[in-house]
Amino acid sequence: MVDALAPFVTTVTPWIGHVMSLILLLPVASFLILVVFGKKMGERSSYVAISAVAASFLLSIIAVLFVMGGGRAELSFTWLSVGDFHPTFGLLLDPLSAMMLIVVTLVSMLVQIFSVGYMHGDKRIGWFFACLSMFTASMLLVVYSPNFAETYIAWEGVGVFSYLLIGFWFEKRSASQAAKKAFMVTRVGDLGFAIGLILLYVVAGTLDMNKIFGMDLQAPLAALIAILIFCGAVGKSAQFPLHVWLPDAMEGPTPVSALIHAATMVAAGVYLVARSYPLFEMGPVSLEVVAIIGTITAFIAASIALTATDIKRVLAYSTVSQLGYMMMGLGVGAFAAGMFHLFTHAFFKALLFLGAGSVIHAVHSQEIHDMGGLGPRMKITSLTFIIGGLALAGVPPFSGFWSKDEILLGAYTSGHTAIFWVGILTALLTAFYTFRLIFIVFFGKPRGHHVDHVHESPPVMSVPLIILGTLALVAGMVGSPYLGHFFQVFITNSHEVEHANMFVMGLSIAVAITGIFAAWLKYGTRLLPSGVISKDNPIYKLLVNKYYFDELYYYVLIKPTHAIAKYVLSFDQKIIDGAVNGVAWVSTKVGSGLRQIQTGYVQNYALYMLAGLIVLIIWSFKILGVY
Amino acid sequence: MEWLQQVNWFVLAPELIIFSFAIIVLVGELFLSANAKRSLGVVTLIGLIASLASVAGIWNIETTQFNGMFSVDLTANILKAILLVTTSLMVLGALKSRFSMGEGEFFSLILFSVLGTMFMASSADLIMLFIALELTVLPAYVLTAGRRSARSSEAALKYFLLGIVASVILLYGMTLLFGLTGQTNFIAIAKELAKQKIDATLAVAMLMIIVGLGFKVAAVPFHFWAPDVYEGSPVPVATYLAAGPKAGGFAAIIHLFPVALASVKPAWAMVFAALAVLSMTVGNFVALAQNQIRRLLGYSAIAHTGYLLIGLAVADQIGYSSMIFYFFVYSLAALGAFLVVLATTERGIGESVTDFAGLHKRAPMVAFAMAVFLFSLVGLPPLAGFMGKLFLFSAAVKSNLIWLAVVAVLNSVVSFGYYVTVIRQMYLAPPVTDKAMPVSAPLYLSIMLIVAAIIVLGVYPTAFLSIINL
Repeated sequence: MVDALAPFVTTVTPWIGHVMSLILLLPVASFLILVVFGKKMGERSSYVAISAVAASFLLSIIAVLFVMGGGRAELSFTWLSVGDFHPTFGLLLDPLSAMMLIVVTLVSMLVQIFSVGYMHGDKRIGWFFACLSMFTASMLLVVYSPNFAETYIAWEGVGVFSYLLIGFWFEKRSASQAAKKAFMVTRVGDLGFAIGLILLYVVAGTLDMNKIFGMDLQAPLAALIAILIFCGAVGKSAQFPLHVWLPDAMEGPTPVSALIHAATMVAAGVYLVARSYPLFEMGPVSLEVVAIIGTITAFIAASIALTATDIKRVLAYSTVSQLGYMMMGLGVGAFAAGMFHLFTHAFFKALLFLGAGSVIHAVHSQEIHDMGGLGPRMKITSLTFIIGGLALAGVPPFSGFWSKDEILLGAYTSGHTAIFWVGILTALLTAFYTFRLIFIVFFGKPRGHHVDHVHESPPVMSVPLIILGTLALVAGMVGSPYLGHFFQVFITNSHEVEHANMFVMGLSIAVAITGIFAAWLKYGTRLLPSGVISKDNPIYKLLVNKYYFDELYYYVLIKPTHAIAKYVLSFDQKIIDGAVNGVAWVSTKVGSGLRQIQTGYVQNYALYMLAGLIVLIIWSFKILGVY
Repeated sequence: MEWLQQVNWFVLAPELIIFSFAIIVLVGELFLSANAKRSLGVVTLIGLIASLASVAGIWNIETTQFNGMFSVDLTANILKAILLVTTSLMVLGALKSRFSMGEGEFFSLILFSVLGTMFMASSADLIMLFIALELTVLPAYVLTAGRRSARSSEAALKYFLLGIVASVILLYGMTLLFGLTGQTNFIAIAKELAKQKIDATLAVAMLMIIVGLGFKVAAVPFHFWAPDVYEGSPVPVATYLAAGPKAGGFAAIIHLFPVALASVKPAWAMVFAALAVLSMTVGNFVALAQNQIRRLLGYSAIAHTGYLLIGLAVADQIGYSSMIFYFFVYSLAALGAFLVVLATTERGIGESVTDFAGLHKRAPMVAFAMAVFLFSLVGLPPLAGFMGKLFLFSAAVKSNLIWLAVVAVLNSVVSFGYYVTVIRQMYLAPPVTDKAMPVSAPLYLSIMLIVAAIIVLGVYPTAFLSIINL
C-alpha cells in the first residue's frame, strides 16, 4: 500500500544534497554561535536563531518542490570504519520527510518569532534560543534519518533538548520536576525502543531501513520488533499509559509547549511509526496494537480535558488525544490520514498554544477562571484562537475536519467498528471541551483582577498567530476531496484514495456541532443551572484526578524503586565503594612511591637514563640473539 | 652552483616561510617601538598560517631534495600540519599574554623551534636529523628560561644538561651506525645493513638512537626533564612544548626505524612496547600523586607518550596512522588544557589543582572547555580522545599485542583518577570568590576552536582520517 516507503530510490543530484545538508546544519550553526556568544548577544540572539530557521524553511520549500517533481534523494556517508563495523550516516529526502521538514521548520520559525515577544527580558534568552535551534536540528535529524541507529541518536537528542527547554525555568521547582518527569517517562518507552533495535540488529544484521524494509521477516518476529519500536513512540508521543508526562511538561515556557507539544517532539513518535510502516505491515498484529492504544489514548485524554481548569493543560490533554487519533489512523491502515492529521494538527495546535501564550502573557495566569471576556480586548488572539478551536473541534471547512474525518473513515471502512464509535464519541468530547475553553476564556464577564488592563500582544506575537490561523483554516484543503486528496497522493505516491463517505462525514459534523452547542448551553448561556454536574459525582472525581494515573505510578513504581535504591545504595557504599577506594588508595601509594625517583638532582636523572639504556641494550641483545 | 637549480624550492616553501618570518620577527624586535612590537604575535600567526597553506599545497607530493637528505612525503606533511595547527592555536592564545622577554624574541624563538621540528619531520639523513633536532631544542632551552625565577632557570638548566646527554648518546649511536655502513642516508643505510649479519654494535647503535629520540618525546626513563620544564617554564612555552615539538620526534622515528633499521625491527618494536608500558604506568601513577596542575599535565604528557609508542610497537602502517591520529587528538587536548591554565594564571589564579575550585561559576565556558579536554585525554566518547584510543588499541589487538592493549586500557582507567580531581574541583568545590573571570578574546577563541575540533573529531573522525589517508 505504501509504495513510497518501499525501497528508497536514491538519486543524488549535487545541488539538492547541499540544500538537504543546509536545512539541517543552519540550526546547528545557530546553536554553536549562541552557545558561545549567546550571553553577550542577549536579546539579539533571536536574530541568529530566527534567520537560521527561516533559511531552513525556505530551503525546505525547495526540497518539497524537488520531491513534488518526482525527485528522491539520499545522502549517505560512512561515519567510521572499525574492522567490519561500518555504520553510515545519512539524510533521506522523500515525500514523508519533505512534508515533515516543512512542518518542523515552519512551526519552529513561527514559534521563535513569537518567543521574541514572549521571552522579552529573560536573563538567559541566548541559551533559550540556542536550545530551540538545537531542538529543531535534532528533530530534523529524526525526520531525515534513513537508519534506525541514527534515528535513535537524534531521538535522544530531541529528548535532551526538550528536557532543557521544559526545565528552562529551573528555578521553579515544578518546572525542574516536570522536566525530570518528561525525561524519565519517555526513557521508559525508549528502553523498549532500544531493545527493539538490538533485536532488529540481531535478526536483520543491519539497522538500515532501506535494507530492512526489503526483507521478508517472519510475521510474529516483525510484530514483536514493531511493538518494541512502538514503545518508543508511546513514550515520545505521550500515548496511554505513558501519557502522564505531557500535561506536566506545560511548566515550560509556552512557546516551547507550542513547539514541542504540537508540531515536533510528540509528533516524532507518530512519525517513527509512519517511517517504520513497512515493518509494522510485516507483522499486522502490531498495527492492531497501535490502533487500540491510540483509541484508548484519544478517549481518555479527551475525557480528562473536560475537567481541567488550566488553559495549557486543557490543550495538553487535547494534544494527547489528537496524537491518539493519529495512532488510530496509522493502526487501522489509514496511513495517509494519520500523517495528514499530523500535518494539520501541527498548525492548529501550535496556534492554540501560542494563543494561550498570548492570553497568559496578558493575564499572568493560566487558570481559565481568572480569564473571561477577553474577546473584545484581544481581538486577534481571540479570533485566531477560535479558528484553531474550530479546526480542533472538526468543523468544516477548518483543517482539522478533513484530517479527522479521513481517520474516522479509515476506521469505518477497515471494519474497526468499535474503534470508529469511540472515535466519534471522542470527537464529541473534543468539540465540547474546546468550546468550554473558548466560552470561558473569551466570552462572558471578565473575572480576575488583571483583566482590566489586558491588551493585545505586540505584533511580533500576533503576526505568527495570524499566519498559523490562516494555515489552520486552509491547510486542510490540500487533503480534501476538492483538491483531489493531493496530500494523500503525495505522501503515498499512489492514486487509490478513499472516497468520501457521506455517512461518516455527516456524523462527524453532527457530533462537532452538538458538542459546541452543548458547551454553549453550559458555559455561554445561563440556561442551565450551574450545579448541573455535581462535584461529588464519582465520574467527575475520576476525571479531575486524571484516572489516578500519577498516584498509581507513584505507589507501584516510584515507591518500590526508592526502597530498592536504598538497599542497593547501602550495598554500593559498603562493598563496591570500599573496593574502589581500596584500589584508588593503592594506586595513589604506588604513585607517591614512584614519585620518589624524581629527586630533582640532574646527576640522578642522567644516571637513570644511562641505566635505562644499559638495561635496554642487554634486553635487545636477547631479542636479537646476539651474544 | 648547479645544485641550486636542481632543488625544487616549491616543496621547501613551508620551511622557507617559517624561516623568513622568524627573521622578520627577530628584526622587528630590534627596530620596532614597544607598542608596535605587540603586533609581532599577529605577524607570527600569519607566518604559521601561510606555512600551513603551503603545506596543503604540496600535500600529495612525494620527493626528496638535497641528494636525498630532505624528504617530502605524506607522513612528514601531516605531522608538519599538526605542528603548525597546534602552534598557531598556541600563538593565537598567547597574543595578549605578557612576556618577561621581548615579544620578538619569544615569537622568533618559537618559530626557529618550529623550523627545526619541521626539518626533523622531513629528515632522511642522519646529519640532517641531528642538526634539525638541535635546532628544535636550543630555542626551547632559552624559552624555558624565559621567566625570571629560580624555578624557570632550574628547569632550563636541567633541560639543557639532560638534553646534552641525550644528544651525545644519540650522536654516538649515529656514529656507530655510520661506522657500520659508511652511509648517512636512511635508505642507503638500509641497503648496507641488508647485506650484513646482525651484530651487537647495531643493537647498541639502535638503542642509543632510541635514547636520543626517546628523550625528545619524553618516554620513561628519559622523561625526567618533562615535569620540571612543564612546571617551571613560562606558561605559553609549556603550552608550546606540550603539543608541537613531539611531532618532530615521532616523525623522525617513523622515518628512521622502519626504513634504516628494518633488519632489527623485532628488537626496536619490543623496546618501544617496553617503553610504552613504562611511560604509561609511571606517567599515570605519578600523576595521581600530583597537586600542581602543570606537573599533573606534565605526567599526563608522559603517559600519553606511552600510548603513542604503542603505534611504534605495532610497527605497521595501521599502527603509524593510528599513532598520528592519536597524536593530533592528544596534542589538541593537551594544548587546550595548557591554554586554560594560561587563562587562569593570567588572572592571578594559582597553579595548584585546588585553585581551580568552583571555576565553572567564575568562567562557565572555560570550565566546560577544560572538562572537554580532560575527558578527551581520558578517552571518553563522544570526544576525539576516545576515537584515538579506539584506533590505537585496536591496532595493537590486530597485531597480537593484546597484552599491551590491556595494559593501556587499565592505564586509561587509572588516568581517570587524576583528571577527574580537576573536574571535581571545577564543578563541585565552592569558589573562593564569585567574581567572573574574564578571558581575553583571542585566548577564548583559541580554546573554543579546540573544543569544537575535539568534538568534531570525536563524532566524525573520518573527516580527518580521510585527509591522512588512513
